[in-house]
Amino acid sequence: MAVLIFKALENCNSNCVYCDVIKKHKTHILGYDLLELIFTRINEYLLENTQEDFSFTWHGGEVCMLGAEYFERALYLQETICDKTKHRINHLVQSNITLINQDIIDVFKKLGIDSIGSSFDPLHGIRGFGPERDSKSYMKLFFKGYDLLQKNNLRVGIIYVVHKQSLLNPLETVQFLTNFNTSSGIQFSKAYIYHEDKHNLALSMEEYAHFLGIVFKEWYKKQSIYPAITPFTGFINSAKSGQCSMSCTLSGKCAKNWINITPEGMTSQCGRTGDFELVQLGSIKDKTFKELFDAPFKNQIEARRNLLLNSSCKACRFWMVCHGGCPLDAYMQHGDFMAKADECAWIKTFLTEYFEPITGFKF
Amino acid sequence: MTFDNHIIVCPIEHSSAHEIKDKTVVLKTSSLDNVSIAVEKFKNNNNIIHAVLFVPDKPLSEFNFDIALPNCKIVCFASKLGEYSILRKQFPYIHKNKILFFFEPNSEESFLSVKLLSTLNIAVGFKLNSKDILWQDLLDICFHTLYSKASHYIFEPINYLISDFKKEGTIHIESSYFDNFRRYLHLSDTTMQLALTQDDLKNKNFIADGFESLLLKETETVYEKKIAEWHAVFIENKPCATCVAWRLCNGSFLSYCDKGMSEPVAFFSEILEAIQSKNNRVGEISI
Repeated sequence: MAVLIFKALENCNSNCVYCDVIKKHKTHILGYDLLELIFTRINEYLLENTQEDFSFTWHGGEVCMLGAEYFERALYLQETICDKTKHRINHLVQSNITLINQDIIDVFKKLGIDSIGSSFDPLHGIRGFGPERDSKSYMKLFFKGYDLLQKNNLRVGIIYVVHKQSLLNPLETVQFLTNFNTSSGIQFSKAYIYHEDKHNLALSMEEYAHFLGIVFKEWYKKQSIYPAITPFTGFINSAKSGQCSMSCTLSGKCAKNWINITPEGMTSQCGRTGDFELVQLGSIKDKTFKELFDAPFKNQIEARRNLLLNSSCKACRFWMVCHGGCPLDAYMQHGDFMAKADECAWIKTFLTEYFEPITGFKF
Repeated sequence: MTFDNHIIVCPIEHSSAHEIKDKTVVLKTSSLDNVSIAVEKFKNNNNIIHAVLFVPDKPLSEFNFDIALPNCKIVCFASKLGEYSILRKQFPYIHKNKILFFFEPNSEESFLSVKLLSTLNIAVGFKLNSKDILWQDLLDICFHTLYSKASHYIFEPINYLISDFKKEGTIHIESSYFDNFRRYLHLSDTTMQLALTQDDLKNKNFIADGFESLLLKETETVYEKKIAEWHAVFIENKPCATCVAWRLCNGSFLSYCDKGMSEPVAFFSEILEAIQSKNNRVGEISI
């Protein structure tokens, strides 16, 4: 499946401590002419690749700032341009849901969207509006949006960014998140602070591993009554099936089929390279998706697997669930996309100290 | 629309019963004598019968259950069993009509009644929307119903919670006794006014005057405000936000916890453990 991370805007109504998007001060929105070109390119790609699907991930910035009209336009373009391929386009949305309204939800439903990926932090001062990071107002709008989505039978998946302060009460945090939202699972994601750590959020790989371990110990016993948690379910499914079921950063499969588009139409490897303005692959105005997926950089990332498998990761029994980690993390940590990412440390600690002894599985 | 899927709890003898059309209804009555005829009348108006709610004004032993009752869920909000030697003769008919008896968990007599009937495999339960719940007694009987090896009916709402709980989804305990405002509306005995809960009905705290006013923006606003009551728990990070019992109680018993009582949490935690054991047994666990 081809995966498009589509950033029609890089502006946000929130000012979350671990996100840099608001600091970019970008107000440009990808125009309708370019939107039309993107659907034309998607259609071309799907007509040429009849066995492929296309995942269209609405990302930002905060996508609801685009308003319902923008999504209506996308729907119209999809209906008119992708007449024969539209059933192979799957829309996904990442939103903080504080601006969601019935009009937007109505178009989302027409686009076939039945769940929204969102984020939440129980602690005040982490996510919030304005320079003072007003979390109370943020939470009020978040829960209002949540109720509206529930009323419309749309599920909400929560990404919880694990940071230094999460270490104080891992179990309480998870209980909080599952108490208010059982419509879908939780995904843990480690906070990456690549600049000055003004808010004391950075945590080590070991700390992250122990956070996961503390939660896993409880969740594993009670998984028949608690929603799924990523990465736990990925590890379990991988252990059971012998095939990798991990998300993009650990899947080792991101090289050829992921692409990011900025509001200006510039492309790069994925959403994360887009955030850091790394590895520009050219403008969508000049290149087809096939050309972008065949870009030399993507071939280089594809070759990373073999390189690592024959060097730093040689004979590692956790290769199947790690693949040397995310190439972007490797670049941010070592200045080299081809290097092994430091995620190796938390994965090994978590799997050997918690996962394997608790489950009895051995990779 | 907001209330399209709500079930209307409606007095069977309501003077405007003929105006109730195309609804799903719980028919409320204080007598079982004419229930079958009334049910047919409501059905003829294109209503769907969700259940019959029998609210007797005298002890159960003073009623005759040897009558033909409609083939639908029949629930009784009972207060007293009455004369046991008389009532016991009715047990075969109670079984036959599959009546579920709810008691208020605030007296020794209620607990004895539930224990007695459940041992006879008669469907019983406690209305947890009652005042002054005897939590320690409830916790004791909870252990009995979950772990006693003697044949007995697992009392409501424990039976409902165990059967209907889903790990991805929300469960509302009040649905068990038709008091979940997200699902039921209560019609006044004499007017067309509607209330969100049984308590609101008792206190004449109505949300709408007639079905048409359910369409009004103001009605929807009041309803949404009630829906949003849970937000404060999480915005202010109150103890309920991180309490294991929330998954089953949704903060309904906060007033007891505020008094420092630990039994409500213990009660729901015990049920969660029972759900966990059941789910593990039926293989819902991943490994």
